Amino acid sequence: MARSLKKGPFVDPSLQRKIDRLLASGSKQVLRTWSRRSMITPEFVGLTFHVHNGKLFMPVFVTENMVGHRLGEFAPTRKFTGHASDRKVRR
Amino acid sequence: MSDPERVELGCVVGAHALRGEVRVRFFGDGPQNLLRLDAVWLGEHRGDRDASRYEIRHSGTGRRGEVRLALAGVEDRSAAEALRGFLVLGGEASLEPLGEDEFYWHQLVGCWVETQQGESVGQVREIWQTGGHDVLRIDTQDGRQVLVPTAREIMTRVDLDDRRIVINAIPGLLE
Repeated sequence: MARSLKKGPFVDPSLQRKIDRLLASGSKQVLRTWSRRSMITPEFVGLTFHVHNGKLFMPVFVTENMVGHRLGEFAPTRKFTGHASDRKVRR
Repeated sequence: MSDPERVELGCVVGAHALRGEVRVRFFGDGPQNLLRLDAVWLGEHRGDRDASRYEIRHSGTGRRGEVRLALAGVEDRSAAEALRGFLVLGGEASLEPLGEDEFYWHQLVGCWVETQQGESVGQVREIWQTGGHDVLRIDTQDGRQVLVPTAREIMTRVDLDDRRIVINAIPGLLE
């Protein structure tokens, strides 16, 4: 069952406190978090998080189209090692 | 031909039917680069000096994630089966041209990374795919490993001729 709309998106209170402090200071410091379950809200856009994947912290730069997803979706817990091939990187 | 001029495009995973077609699993985002080639090299690694060159008689898509190539000189199934396991290498110049902010993985691996202030960070060793931006795995000179997302706001400049990437090292990114 989907989360009730009246509750709003879930963001871990400890992470929300860090974000509030960061936004108030105007800094762009990378935030380190273990809270993979926190939903990305519009105020996250433009911030960079280090999201723990169980082993290390994966950098996640938040863009507009990530809003509504969870932080953990962008920090995979398994690593695919392929060839340095004709796969493309888009900035 | 020197190493950087050949790129791993796929791997021979088996034979198709009886007339010597080989099944190739491609490594890239799609089969387009393999389907536009006239010839490929089959070797054991990217810099393989003993890689053999094969003209492509015809090619087509196959199973999901695979293409089928008919190679000149490979006329029956046994000959195709014997090629299983070889890497399929293609000329870098024949790859599909990219958009303004696009790069091939092999172009970024090996590049030196520095900050906007000119401080050296290290060398790109790998690229990891994530759900968002891909991540550069950089080995620093002091033996650490640093991860940097390929977002435009962070990877601010890429100079492929100088093999140099300039990043915006926001506080905490390189820790």
